[in-house]
Amino acid sequence: MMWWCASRTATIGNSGPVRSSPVWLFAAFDPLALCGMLRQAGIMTNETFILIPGRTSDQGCGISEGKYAQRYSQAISTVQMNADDMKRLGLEEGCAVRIRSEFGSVVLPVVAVKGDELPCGLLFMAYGEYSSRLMGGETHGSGMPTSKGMDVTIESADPSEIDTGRIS
Amino acid sequence: MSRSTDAEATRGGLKIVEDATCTFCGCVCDDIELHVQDDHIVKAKKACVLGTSWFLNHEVEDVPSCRIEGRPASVEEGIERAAKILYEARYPLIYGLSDTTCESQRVAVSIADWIGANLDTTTSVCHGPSGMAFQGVGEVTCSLGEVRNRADLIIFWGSNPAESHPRHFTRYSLMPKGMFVPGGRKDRTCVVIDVRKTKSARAADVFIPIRPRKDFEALWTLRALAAEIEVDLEQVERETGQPLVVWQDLMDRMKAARFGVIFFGMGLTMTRGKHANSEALLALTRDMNRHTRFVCKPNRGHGNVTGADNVVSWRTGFPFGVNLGRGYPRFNPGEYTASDVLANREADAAMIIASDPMANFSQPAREHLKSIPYVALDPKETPTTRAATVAFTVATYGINVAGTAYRMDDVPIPLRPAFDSPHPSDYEILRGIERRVQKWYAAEVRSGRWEV
Ligand code: SF4
Repeated sequence: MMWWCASRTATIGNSGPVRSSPVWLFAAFDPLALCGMLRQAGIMTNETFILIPGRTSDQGCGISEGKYAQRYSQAISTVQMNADDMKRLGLEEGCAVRIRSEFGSVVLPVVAVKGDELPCGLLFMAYGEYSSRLMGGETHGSGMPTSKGMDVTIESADPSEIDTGRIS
Repeated sequence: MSRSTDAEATRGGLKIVEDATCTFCGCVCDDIELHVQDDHIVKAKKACVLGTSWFLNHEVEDVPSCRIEGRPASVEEGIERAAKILYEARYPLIYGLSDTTCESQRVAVSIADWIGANLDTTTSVCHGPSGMAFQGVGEVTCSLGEVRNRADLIIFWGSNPAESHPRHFTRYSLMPKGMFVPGGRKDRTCVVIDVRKTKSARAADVFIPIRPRKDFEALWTLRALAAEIEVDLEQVERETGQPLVVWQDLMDRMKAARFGVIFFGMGLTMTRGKHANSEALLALTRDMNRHTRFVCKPNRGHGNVTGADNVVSWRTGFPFGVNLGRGYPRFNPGEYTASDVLANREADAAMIIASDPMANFSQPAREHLKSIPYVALDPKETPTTRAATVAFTVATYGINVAGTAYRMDDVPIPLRPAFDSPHPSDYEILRGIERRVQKWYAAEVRSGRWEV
């Protein structure tokens, strides 16, 4: 399924992401310019975000249409970010990002959220297979795994790694 | 089970089903007019976008009613194999149940009782933490009819009904002109508290964005303000993300309301604090009744998840996370809840009814489920049915199957199906399994293996 931004291949290279880059190294630079440089070189710093999976109309309608139909797959396989965060990180609409939690990782296209729906530092995605891969099995005696408010890191990824459409 | 309905008429060659019930979400709207052509619904008047998608996309699936290890099989063979898997297991899990009728839920509990299974519903990964909190604090509650007729302050906390329960505003909470709120929306104040500015926040008079994972702190700030206890200004702002004046303003509105209601969602139960968040909210609601009339209600998701709580409660004494392995019910969320039973690799067989843990559970839980024999019943193909040892395609409740569903405020509502399905109902499959396990159990008792 090739519905995400076609420009992504031109903007992200193939080399692996940089992990745990020391913060002091970046302090002397303009972060935007630096992220742009890193992105052009095919790398982007690990950024910490809080991920909020939740319901959306599209995901809800998609369930009725069928979990293997396009609407559902699309609804659950995009991560939304504040436009300012995207700008700061040098990410463009549809770029592939690796979202990594303590328990797993997924690679999805990122899109800017409309208006002021999402504050900086937060990510949103519709519940589903991909959000579940980031959840741990521990329920802290409640029966409920922590499914919202998860700490994740973001780094750029190669578009060929996008998990879209690979629902098991 | 009867599939006919007395609220049917014909218009322009179409069958019209009046007052049909939508079971997609916990609003369980029972005022839908369905236009049916042969074996599909062409129009669902009054249904919201989710309800329309639910009705219009449940056509007859052209797939076998049963598959065993991926191969088409007869329903009878499937029932036999399913019963065997469950009966021979040492620690069977029965899970799901929120998208089926109370009649089917009742049979599933009976099977769990006969085989000494661990029984859990999707409540455990939705408002299970609230279910724990109800037992600790109690629930000051009411029906949605009371909210419609009386509530002048409506608070949504960690809940986004504009997307999850689209008719909530118009049918129950914000827009209706009620007996004591004759001006409808004009007579009501709506407050939304959330970590993001959701579509529901746009419908609110007041939106309070709070810091993620700080619901507990915000709720206890309000409890302190309700009791007029002095709080640390700086700490409140640092912890909740909002200055004290914002919380004081909300508390003033809450005290001034004639009838306040807090609808809370999974923004509370799925995040840090879980049942402690729900407990704080229930306690705040209780506190507010020293000042005025205040109630709270969890916004329940799946169509009949409230029915599952009710049926499991009246059959076992507990709402979810019940283990019947010793021949009597034990309740322990965190131990007998499906996520834990699977992630801890305890269950050695399972039956999943109308839910999709292979898509929605954590990775360790999914991996374990994939490694054990299990039975799945669902009207649609899902990741769970695909990986099942025995998978049944069943008729859809409310569309093909009659029965009862509970609205989120515990009001039971009859279902009026639109057309017949060639697939069996899950009730029929479950009754078939129950008959078999009952027969085998009786034979073992007769042979002296079990005492009764
Ligand atoms: S609000 Fe819920 S129950 Fe009512 S029509 Fe929409 S999906 Fe169906």
